[in-house]
Amino acid sequence: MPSEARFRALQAGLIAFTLLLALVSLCLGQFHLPIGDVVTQLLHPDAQNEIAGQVVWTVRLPRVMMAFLCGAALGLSGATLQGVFRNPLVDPHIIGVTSGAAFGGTLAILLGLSPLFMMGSTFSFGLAALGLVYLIATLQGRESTLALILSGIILSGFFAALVSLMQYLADTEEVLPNIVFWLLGSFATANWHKVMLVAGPVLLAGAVLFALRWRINLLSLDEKDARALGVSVKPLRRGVLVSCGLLVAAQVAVSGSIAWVGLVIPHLARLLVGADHRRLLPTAFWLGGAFMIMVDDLARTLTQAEIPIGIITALVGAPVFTFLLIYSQRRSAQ
Amino acid sequence: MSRRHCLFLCTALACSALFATAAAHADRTVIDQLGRQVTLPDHVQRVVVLQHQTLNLLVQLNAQDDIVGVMSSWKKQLGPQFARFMPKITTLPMPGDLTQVNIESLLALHPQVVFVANYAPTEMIQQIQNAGIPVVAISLREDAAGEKNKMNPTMANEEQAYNDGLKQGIRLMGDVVERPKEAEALIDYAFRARAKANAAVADIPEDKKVRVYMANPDLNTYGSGKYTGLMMQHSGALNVAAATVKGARQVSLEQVLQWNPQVIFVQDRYPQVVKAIESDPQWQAIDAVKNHRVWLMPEYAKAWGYPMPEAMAIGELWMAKKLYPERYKNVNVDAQAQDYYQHFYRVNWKSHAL
Amino acid sequence: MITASLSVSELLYGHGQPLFAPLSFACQPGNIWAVLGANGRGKSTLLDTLTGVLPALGGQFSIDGGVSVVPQSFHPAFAWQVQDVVLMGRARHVPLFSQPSAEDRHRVAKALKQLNISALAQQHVGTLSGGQQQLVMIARALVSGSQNILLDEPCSALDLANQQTVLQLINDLAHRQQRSVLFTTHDPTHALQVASHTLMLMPDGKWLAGETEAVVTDRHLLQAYGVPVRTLTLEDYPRQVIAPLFSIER
Repeated sequence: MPSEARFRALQAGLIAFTLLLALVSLCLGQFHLPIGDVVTQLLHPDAQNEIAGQVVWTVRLPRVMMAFLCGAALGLSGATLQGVFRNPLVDPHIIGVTSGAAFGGTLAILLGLSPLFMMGSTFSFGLAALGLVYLIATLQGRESTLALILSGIILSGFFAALVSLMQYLADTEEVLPNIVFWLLGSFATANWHKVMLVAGPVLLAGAVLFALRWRINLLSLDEKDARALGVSVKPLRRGVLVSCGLLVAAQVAVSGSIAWVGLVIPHLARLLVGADHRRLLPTAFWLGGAFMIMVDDLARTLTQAEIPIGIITALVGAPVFTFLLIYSQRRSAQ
Repeated sequence: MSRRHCLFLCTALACSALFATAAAHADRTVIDQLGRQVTLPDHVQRVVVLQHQTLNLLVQLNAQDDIVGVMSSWKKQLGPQFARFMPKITTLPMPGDLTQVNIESLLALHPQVVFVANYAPTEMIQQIQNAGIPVVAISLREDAAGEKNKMNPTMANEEQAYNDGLKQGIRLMGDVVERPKEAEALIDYAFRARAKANAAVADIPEDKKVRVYMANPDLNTYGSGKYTGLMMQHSGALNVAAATVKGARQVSLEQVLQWNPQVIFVQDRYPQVVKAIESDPQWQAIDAVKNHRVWLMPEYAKAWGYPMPEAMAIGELWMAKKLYPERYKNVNVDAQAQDYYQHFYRVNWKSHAL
Repeated sequence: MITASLSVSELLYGHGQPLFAPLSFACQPGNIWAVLGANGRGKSTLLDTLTGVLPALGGQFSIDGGVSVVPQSFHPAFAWQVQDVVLMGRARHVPLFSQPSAEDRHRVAKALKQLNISALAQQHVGTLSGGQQQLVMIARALVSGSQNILLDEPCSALDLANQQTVLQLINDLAHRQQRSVLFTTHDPTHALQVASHTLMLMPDGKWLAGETEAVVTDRHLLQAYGVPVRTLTLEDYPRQVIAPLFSIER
């Protein structure tokens, strides 16, 4: 099939582009390092120039990797959830995990917990939120996509209110700025430890979703239709949602809540490779990673201080999304 | 030489060689106000300050020439007028702020030490440390162990905690930037001036104290556990918020109406609040507004959450005189301010003509 | 004796309450069953029960060789290509964590060729006409290789030309491919055209099942629909047609 070959070429191109972007990003930053130095540091990890090695290996490389993994997680979960809920306007926040995780993190800041406990709290509350979504849906007596979305909205609202409560309880001069900054999302404190912590869930859940990529096509059918085709919809959907929950919870745990990426990237990917999830999921993964690397480059080089990444993804994401909507409307009208 | 002599000499030489090598790597350790042991180079000449109170104190310790980087919100926290104490601050790089830092910008400055607030996120402190830069956390508050970086800790004795904390903090800073004499001089002057100023109102009974409200923008105020309340107490006043509000908080207008303070003070860094209160119809019923006792405090009267020596030395005096002018008839606050400013800021004091 | 590939015995079905008296009938390979009944009688519900989407309330049914259903309509949430939609019919044959193989793709191509829609393979389903969409749905049912094909009101939304196509297809599925075909319709003429047997769902939970000529009579149709009909035999046309005798008050 000619389109198959074209897809493979596109995929390879995308991966190559992302790797190249990562390399270029290693050369960007407030600490001026000529490209030659960067390359030398990469090739000789134990070189004598201490500070340059430090900048490349302990500051930039983990940060670029973390941005990639978080962006990829958001792109992948966004594309999957749009398929599962049969709605291209779905954002990963819909399953309530982001709000739950945001609450977990805010609570940890308020209580003054150590970073490790904070990540644990964020991750746990994120997954707990998903559990609660299922609980509410089941209590309604149905586990349909509509019930899940409604439960997700309810829980997101509830946890958002709790986050506001935490902000209210916080000292306005000392704790509140911490909470606000964390909520906006940042890769500023990236280190290898965090990269490991996020890589685990992302690669695991990512592998599961990758293996299920054709099945997700089936999930995006009418539930009755899918069941008539022999798909056990409920267990499959549960597995997929848990995987997405893992991706999102891990991402929020290491970098705070980042909006828009999970909504915009799947759209962009769909424009590039079509709706078939066999192609869409890997494309959304790599595109999300590349996008996040680019945005993070902006976040850490535009000014001397750090710009929270959630601000940039929103400022960039909203116009891009509008453009995509208009463009795809025009294209389908032709 | 006998063999014993020889042996002794050799050992002595060996020992001194050991000490010599140790001295060549010149490092010292301090304990910061979070209880952390920090290893610093012997001589520190490149300092980054990511906390406004510390910035203010370092300037008063005459260490501003060692500062190579400041927090990005210094203007908001200290007021733009602060630049007159340290003209070069307007050109200094700003690699971070109270709660975040761009580690690369920081590394590019090659600092030898970074001062942060005790409430800076642990991750941020760890990140700077892991980059090989010593971090010194300042709290200006001496807490019981275990509450060291919490907000609004329960302080058995607020007064003592802040007094001791300020002294400890100033001495720590003086130690780090090698200005111990200036540190002692500052502490000495501030506490003595305060004792002298407070004497005149020390005997006012609780129920006769003037009831005061500290108005920050957007109905924010300071409750108990902050230096603000202590400042008011020293000036013979009562912080209306201290009984029911803990820490820095936003309150409701109804609460303020209920407290009905006799005087409203506004910090020098928020001049817009005075106008806002005086023109807002909702505030007109309050005693202080009715009697036109809504006052903007001078720059040195920093009624912050944390104590500043100029606030203790002259700020409390100013506040006391404003509230009880008859007790301070012969005291010229401006002259005191001028003395302090010349001493520690090395500029002239100019009042805003309140 | 050819064994039935789809047989229903004393089946009770419905949403909570049985819609009909216990149902019994059997489809043999090569047979076409038409299920007639007024709108809302429960024709679709029967199909849901036979495919396992709705649990049966009593009795039993057995299916040999798998069952596939062709739904009445298809509303894709995304811009699927025809070949991707047809490929979904292989769901039962692709293991959970696997991707469709060359064999699966081959079957898709074969089904498309069988239905003469190979040219549409890469078009978006949403851009097709009703009739073409119906063919795509039938292709999807075909690729699963099921012995039994159920069609839910395949002709209800189609114009005459497309109805012709689909009816021919139903005929071919049964007689050329020896499958058991069951389709629901509310137009009795369809039953007369292609169905060897008919199940007529009557009011009050009653039903009739048997050879089409015996079941589809004027009297039964009046009972089922409440509108008098006349079965017409035409000189130059091999099959009988049913003419509804509407009474319009002028």
